[in-house]
Amino acid sequence: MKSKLSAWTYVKNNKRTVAVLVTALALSFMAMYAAYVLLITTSESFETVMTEMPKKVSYASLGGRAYGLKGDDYETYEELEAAYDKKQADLVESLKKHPGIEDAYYTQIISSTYQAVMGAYSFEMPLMEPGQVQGFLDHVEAKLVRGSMPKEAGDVLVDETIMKNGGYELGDWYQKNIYGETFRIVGTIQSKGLVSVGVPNGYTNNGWYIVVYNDETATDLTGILQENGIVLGDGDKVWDAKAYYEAYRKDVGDTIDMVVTTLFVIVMTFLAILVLVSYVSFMRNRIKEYCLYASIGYGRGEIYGMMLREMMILFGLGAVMGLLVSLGTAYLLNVTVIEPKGLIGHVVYGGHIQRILGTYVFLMGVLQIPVLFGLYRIKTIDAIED
Amino acid sequence: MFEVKNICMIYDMNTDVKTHALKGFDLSLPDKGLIGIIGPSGSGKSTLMYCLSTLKTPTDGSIVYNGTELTAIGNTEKERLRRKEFGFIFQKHYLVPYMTAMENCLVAAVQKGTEAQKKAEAFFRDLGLAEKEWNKKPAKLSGGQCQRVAIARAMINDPKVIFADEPTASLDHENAFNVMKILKKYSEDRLVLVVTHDRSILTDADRIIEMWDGEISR
Repeated sequence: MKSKLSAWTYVKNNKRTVAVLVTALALSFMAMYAAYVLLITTSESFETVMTEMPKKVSYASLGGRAYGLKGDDYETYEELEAAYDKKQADLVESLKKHPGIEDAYYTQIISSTYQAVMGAYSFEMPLMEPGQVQGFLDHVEAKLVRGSMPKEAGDVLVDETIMKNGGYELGDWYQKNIYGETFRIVGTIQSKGLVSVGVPNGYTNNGWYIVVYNDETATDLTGILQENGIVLGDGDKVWDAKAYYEAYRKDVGDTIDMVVTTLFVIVMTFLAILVLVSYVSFMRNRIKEYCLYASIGYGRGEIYGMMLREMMILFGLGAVMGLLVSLGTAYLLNVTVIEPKGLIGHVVYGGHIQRILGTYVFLMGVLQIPVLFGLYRIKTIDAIED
Repeated sequence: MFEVKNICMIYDMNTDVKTHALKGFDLSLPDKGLIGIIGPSGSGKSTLMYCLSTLKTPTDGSIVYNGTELTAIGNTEKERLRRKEFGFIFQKHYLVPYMTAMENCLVAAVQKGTEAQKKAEAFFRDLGLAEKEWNKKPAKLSGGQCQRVAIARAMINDPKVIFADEPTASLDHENAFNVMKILKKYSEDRLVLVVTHDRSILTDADRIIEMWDGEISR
């Protein structure tokens, strides 16, 4: 076996020091990963609602101008209202005939709220007559899993994830803080887009919308409305796939990305400084050892090779331990925080693991600066004894 | 083995007060034998040893080792010589604190593995280092034991030359005598250069070079 300065000797004989370094690296790995898991669960949970729901249902609330109506053209408000109703009814009929649209009607909506780790998102929940509910459930591929179908005014069906998220039980008042004792949960449904549905109970002041049952070929409601001569203005609201995605990107995705990146940069900066300072001190403590190696004939390249291998072992152990601890922590977070709150989360986020590992490689790169400086300061023992 | 011509070593070359550690002398050393270099502090004996062992490059003059001009070779060749043909016993033992006695000995081995391990064990036995000490770290060994580990480390590659700088400085009289006996035995077919200011350890030396103020006085 040809001689090479062994990196394992240091690791083997300095278990306590190595354990401290490896644990510090592993804990920083875990901190970055756990923070990411908690933050990204917000994004993932909202993404489900905001991307799945518009594949099946879109909403439009249009003012008179969108139909080309002007108040000045009508003598009374009643005439204007009649013209508006006529235009709207014509539009609804036209939408029903559009390819990819199964049904459309004008109805009240209320807000359904989904509370994540960071922030909450409110989305549309249509109200309809009891006889229409089964058709809605069929269209959104939702099924009743507990309770009964709505029969009375104010009966609502709520997605089981939202039930869990809001801590609701069957028979509870839904969104009592907003609507008071208006909507009672009579059933739990299971759906991909976390949809909920109910029967109106008077006027709830959340607005009236045209509800469109679309399929994935007709998710661009804005375009379809424009094809129908609708001119959208500032006061008009269209919630279709594009609008939901834009809202998701702006309000959720970008914000979460920014927070994650900021946290990541802060943690990494502190970690880089800590590792740098620790490593310089680590090298200083071993300078005589390096001088001995140089004196008995090991070249600087061989000494550097040993230092690099030691560093790789430390970071490798830190990464392996950090990965295991992080996955364990992510699992615990999923079981104790994320799933009980009806949020969507995973244990493994490959992209983020790669990002942290990439940072470790970057840190190792940064450490080459003191290592290379130190390497050129290595003297032979005669110089020390002088 | 060594042919030294007009060797000069000047420290602080760029300052007004220059120190002439070696003042230009010739010296010839054989392939084997125990050679003592003796002199008071500052006489240049350690500088001479460092120049011969390639740790220092003389300011002027020539050192030929087995036909190779040491002042003309590059660092890689110097490292090869120090690694394979020279062994070092420094004044302080310079053992690596976190390594065991055995690991400290083997760190210098050119060929690692069982053979090197057996060789190290044999040296430890010859040097009187008990087996129970082999896995101890330097902090748990006495000064004498550390020095014996350093001697074993110097011999592990069967070097052609051993350079020993005050090898018995930290040893009691009995251990010092034992160490010199081992070095004497080693010098039967190799060259051992011992730098010291203690003449009493050189009773078995084949030759004693006395140095004074950078020159060979005798």
